[in-house]
Amino acid sequence: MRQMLKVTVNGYPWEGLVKSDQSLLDFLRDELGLTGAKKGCDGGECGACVVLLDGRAVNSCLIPVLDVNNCEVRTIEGLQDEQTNQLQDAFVSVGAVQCGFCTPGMIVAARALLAEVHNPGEEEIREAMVGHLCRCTGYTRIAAAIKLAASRINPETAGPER
Amino acid sequence: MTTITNYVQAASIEMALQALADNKMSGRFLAGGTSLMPILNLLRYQPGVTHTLIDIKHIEGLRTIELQADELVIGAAVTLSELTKHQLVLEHAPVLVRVAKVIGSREIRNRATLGGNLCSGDPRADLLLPTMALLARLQFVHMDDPNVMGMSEFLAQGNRARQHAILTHIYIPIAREVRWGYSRLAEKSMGRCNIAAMALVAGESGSLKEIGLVVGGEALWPQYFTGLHIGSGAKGSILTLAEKVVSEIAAGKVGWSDYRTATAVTVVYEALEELMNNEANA
Ligand SMILES: Cc1cc2nc3c(=O)[nH]c(=O)nc-3n(C[C@H](O)[C@H](O)[C@H](O)COP(=O)(O)OP(=O)(O)OC[C@H]3O[C@@H](n4cnc5c(N)ncnc54)[C@H](O)[C@@H]3O)c2cc1C
Ligand code: FES
Ligand code: FES
Repeated sequence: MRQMLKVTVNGYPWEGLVKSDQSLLDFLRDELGLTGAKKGCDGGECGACVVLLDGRAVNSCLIPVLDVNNCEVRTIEGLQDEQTNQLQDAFVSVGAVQCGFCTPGMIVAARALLAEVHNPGEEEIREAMVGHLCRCTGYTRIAAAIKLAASRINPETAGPER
Repeated sequence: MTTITNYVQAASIEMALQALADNKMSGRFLAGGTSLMPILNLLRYQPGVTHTLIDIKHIEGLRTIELQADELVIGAAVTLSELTKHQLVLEHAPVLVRVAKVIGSREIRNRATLGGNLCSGDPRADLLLPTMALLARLQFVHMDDPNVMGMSEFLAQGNRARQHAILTHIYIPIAREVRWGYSRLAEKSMGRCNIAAMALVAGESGSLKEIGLVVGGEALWPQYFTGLHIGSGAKGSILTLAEKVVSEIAAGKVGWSDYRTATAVTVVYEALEELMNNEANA
C-alpha cells in the first residue's frame, strides 16, 4: 500500500506517495538516492544508518518512513559545513577511517553530540558512540578524532591539544 | 510479500483504540519502534505476515510528565532521552534515570519510550525493575474499560494486559526518602541485560529495616522480594541474603546453571551493597 508523505530532507521539501512498509533508511537510499547512510544490520545495532530527525540522532533503519511525516531529516549529505569539515579532517588525520562504511553514521552522531556538549571528554564521547560499530579502526582513534575536531571547532572551551 | 500494510497516526487514545478494533488481526501499536521494528524488518520478506502500525507517540496526553498529589505521572510515550533529562524525574525518581541511561544507545533512547519498554513482552526490558521496585501502577485504557493495575498484576497477566488496550500512564508514588542500589550484567556493550537486581528502601529516615528487592533478566520475569533484613551491613550477611534470594529464584527453574547462580549472586550482592553504602540517593 502507498500513502502520502510530506517531509523536508536536507532543507528541501519532498512530497509524494511512499510504500507503507518502507523504512526511512530505504526511502533515503532507494527513492532519494542519498546513500550516505548505510544499511549495516537493519536492526539498530550498528549505527551506520544514523541521521538527524528534527535535530536528534536516530537509527533510520528502525523508523517506518511514514513516521517522519512533517518532520525534518538531515543526512550526512546535508551536513556539509565547517563543523563537518573539521570532523572529516580529524578522522583522516588521526587514522579513524579505513573502509569508511561506519564513518557517515559516526560523523552524524558526533555532530549531535557536539551540538549538546562543546568539548566532550573521553567518557562522554565513548558513551555517545556506543551504538556505532567499526570493524576496521578500533574505537580509540575515533574518540581521538572527535576530541580533536571539538577542540578545533570550540577552541575557547578546549583543553590543551594532544 | 510485505509486513507493514498500513500505517495510522493516531491523534487520540480513542482513535488508536478504534484503529486497533478495525484491524483486529493485524493492528499493532507503534511507539518508538526500537523493539518492534527490528522484528518487522526481519519478517519483511515472509509472505502472509501483515501488520497495521498504529502510531501512538504523537498523542498529546501520552508525552507529559507531571506531579499529581503524591505521585509522579509519566506518559507512556515519553522517550527515554526525555525521561533521563526531566527535572521532575531527576528529583523524584532518580532510580528510573539511572536505569534508563544504560538502555541501548543514544540513538535508541532518542526514540524508545517508557511504555514501549514495559509492553515489549521481553523479561529483559530494563525498566521493569525500577517500576516494580517503586511500586508503580499502570493505567491501561481498553475500548470501554480503563484499568489501573500494579506491576505484579501486569506481569501476571502477560500479553493479556496489553491486548486490545493501550498503556497510557505510569504512576510512581513519591517517597520522601528513597535509598537504592542497582546492578546489571550484560554480555556486550549496548547488550540486553543478562541479569539485573534493584534493592530499595522507601520512606525510612533511620537505619535500613525492610528492603524490597527485584531481580530479573534473560528468561526471568522480575521477581519481587519484600521484608528482607540485613543486620548491621556486614558484608557476610549481605552475601548470605544474596545467596538465599538466588537459591529461591533458581529452585524449580529448568536449565539454571551454576554460572547463572554465581552471576546472579554477584549482581544481587552488588545491588544490596550499593544500597547499604548509599545515603538517600539523589
Ligand atoms: C540495539 C538495541 C539495543 C537495545 N537495548 C536495550 C536495553 O539495553 N534494555 C532494554 O530494556 N531494551 C533494549 N532494547 C529494546 C528497546 O529499545 C526498548 O525496550 C524500548 O524501550 C522499547 O520502546 P519503544 O517505544 O521503542 O517500543 P516499540 O518498539 O514501539 O513497542 C514495543 C511493543 O510494545 C507495544 N507498545 C508500545 N507502546 C505501547 C503502549 N503505550 N501500550 C500498549 N502497547 C504498547 C508495541 O505494540 C510493541 O509490541 C534495545 C533495542 C535495540 C534495537
Ligand atoms: S543499519 Fe541501522 S543500526 Fe545498523
Ligand atoms: S572504517 Fe571500516 S567499519 Fe569503520
